[in-house]
Amino acid sequence: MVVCSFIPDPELYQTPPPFFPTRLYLGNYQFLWGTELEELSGGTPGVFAQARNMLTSVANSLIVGVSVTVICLILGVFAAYSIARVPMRGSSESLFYIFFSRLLPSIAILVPIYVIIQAFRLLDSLLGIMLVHSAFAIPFFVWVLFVYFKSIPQSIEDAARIDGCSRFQQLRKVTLPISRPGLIAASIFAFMTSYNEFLFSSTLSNTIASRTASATLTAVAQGMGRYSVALFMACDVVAILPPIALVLIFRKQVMEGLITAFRR
Amino acid sequence: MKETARIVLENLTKNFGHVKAVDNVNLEIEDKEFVTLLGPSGCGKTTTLRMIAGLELPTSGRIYFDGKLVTDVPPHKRNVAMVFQDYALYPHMNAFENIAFSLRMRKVPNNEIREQVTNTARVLRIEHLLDRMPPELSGGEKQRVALGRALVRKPTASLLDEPLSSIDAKLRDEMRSELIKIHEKFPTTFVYVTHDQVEAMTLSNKIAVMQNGRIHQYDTPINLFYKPVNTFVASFIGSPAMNLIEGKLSSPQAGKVMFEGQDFAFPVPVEVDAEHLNAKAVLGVRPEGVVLHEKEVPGSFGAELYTAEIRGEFTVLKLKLGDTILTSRIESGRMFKKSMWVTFAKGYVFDANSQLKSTF
Repeated sequence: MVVCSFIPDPELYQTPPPFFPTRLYLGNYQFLWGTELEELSGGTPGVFAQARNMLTSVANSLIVGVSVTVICLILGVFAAYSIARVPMRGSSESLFYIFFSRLLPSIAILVPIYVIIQAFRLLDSLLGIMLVHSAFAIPFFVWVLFVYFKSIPQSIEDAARIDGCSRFQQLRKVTLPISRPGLIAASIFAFMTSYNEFLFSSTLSNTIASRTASATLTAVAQGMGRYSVALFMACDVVAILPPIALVLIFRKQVMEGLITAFRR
Repeated sequence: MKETARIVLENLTKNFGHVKAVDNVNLEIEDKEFVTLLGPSGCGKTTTLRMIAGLELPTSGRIYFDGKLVTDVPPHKRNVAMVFQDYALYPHMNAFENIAFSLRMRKVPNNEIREQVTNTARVLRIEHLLDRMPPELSGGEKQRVALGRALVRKPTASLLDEPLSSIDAKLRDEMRSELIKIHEKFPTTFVYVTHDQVEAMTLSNKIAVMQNGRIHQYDTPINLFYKPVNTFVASFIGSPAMNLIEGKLSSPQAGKVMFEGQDFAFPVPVEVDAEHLNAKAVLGVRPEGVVLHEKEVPGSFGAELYTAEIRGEFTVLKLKLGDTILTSRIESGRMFKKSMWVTFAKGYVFDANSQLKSTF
């Protein structure tokens, strides 16, 4: 994919096709950034317009993904902590309910959610997509953190309370710092859930203003003519860069977090 | 705030669902005393300690510190310190920060924190470990850091929940004598929880023996040993455990009350109330009270050797008297034979409800 994105489109169709690019060709990327491209002929004009939107879409995806992660962090930490530690009626039931909502096939709730988002006049807006993505990301987030919190010995939290912490201080100064790998792993998963999501992103957005990377990629792919494979590959590369960068940066914490989450 | 306190528990009860973990406990712990809650696992000793700490709220009953009602006061406002069985060091802080944490929470100035932590560390001999993270410390070192964390803040009371149970035997002996020293250097009220009677006997001023959420006896170690109120305390304190033989007391023969066990009858040299005659009873004899003779002597019973455990400083013999198995403790090096004669030198008589009636 990366190799193809650095080859001019017509060269891709030679027999045999080039295995490595013969020169560093940046035309496909320059096109995404606005430069006209001579090699591009054929294909439907709309596709080129879609490809031009790739950068905006990736930016949209990032905005939505980061917001979803922040929403998950705020709501999920409290949800997971209270289910894991605060004795209350119905905590195991609420945990079950949270998981259960995750088991529903998203296609089954597509129409109701569309109607709801429409009623709130949030169609075609990033906020609408953010809310829907958060609803999908929170269950897994809560589960990972729940397991992580459970794995912390109760006595460490007791010690913190005896040392003079209120519940909230104990959460902030002891529990959350210890849970850092779990928090990072859960956050990255929340981000990826949002970043990968296609069905709702494409259904809830009609214009480029709120279109995310996954939806734009599909639009590009669907309209792709004979001479735009290389361009499509360039779009792909741009789209996968943010998640790859994230995983590379937090590789260690993701592994630690997941190992703890699945070991229990 | 005062540095030490008298702790009073009044009718303290804690239910977990239908389980009565602590059942109407009354306890008075004097200022600067070292008191141990002793009992088998599940007896409610840890729950009692956690209620003193404020980590559990009692179902009913009251807790007073120095006459002040603290039953509903949250732990961070009680100024008690606690050492946990698994140390519970904060894994994301080094030893220094672990010890300093409670001082930081109380916004003590930095230079004072440094001074107090260093002083505490010097007493506990962990000065050289202060910049290590918890995983880099050995069990005994973690224990010291946990103690340091408890002692640095000069608490009203220090609560210790089986602090020695997860370190190895040799270190445990060392830490035990160290704890005595620490209590001398930091004279605050210590409440100590353990299931190990040796720890309880050696460390405490007073011991509360607990079972099924109730306190059987609250007394000095010596009194617990020589005047156990019932068979539970009698069998829990002392090693090897006291022999308890079931039987009944019969009417006096030749002026002496007879204890009739399954396999022998023994004249009990004590006065017994008429109401206990012809009633079930338990005869208790400590292993060192089971005296061995090579030949038959008046009032002795023939016994067969069952097993012998040579423990070095003494030898523990199990003897069969019919179907009754008796434990005897003799000095090491003393010869023993396949069949011997035993007499009881010292013993206790418990009534049908297992309560102590008299000793001889």
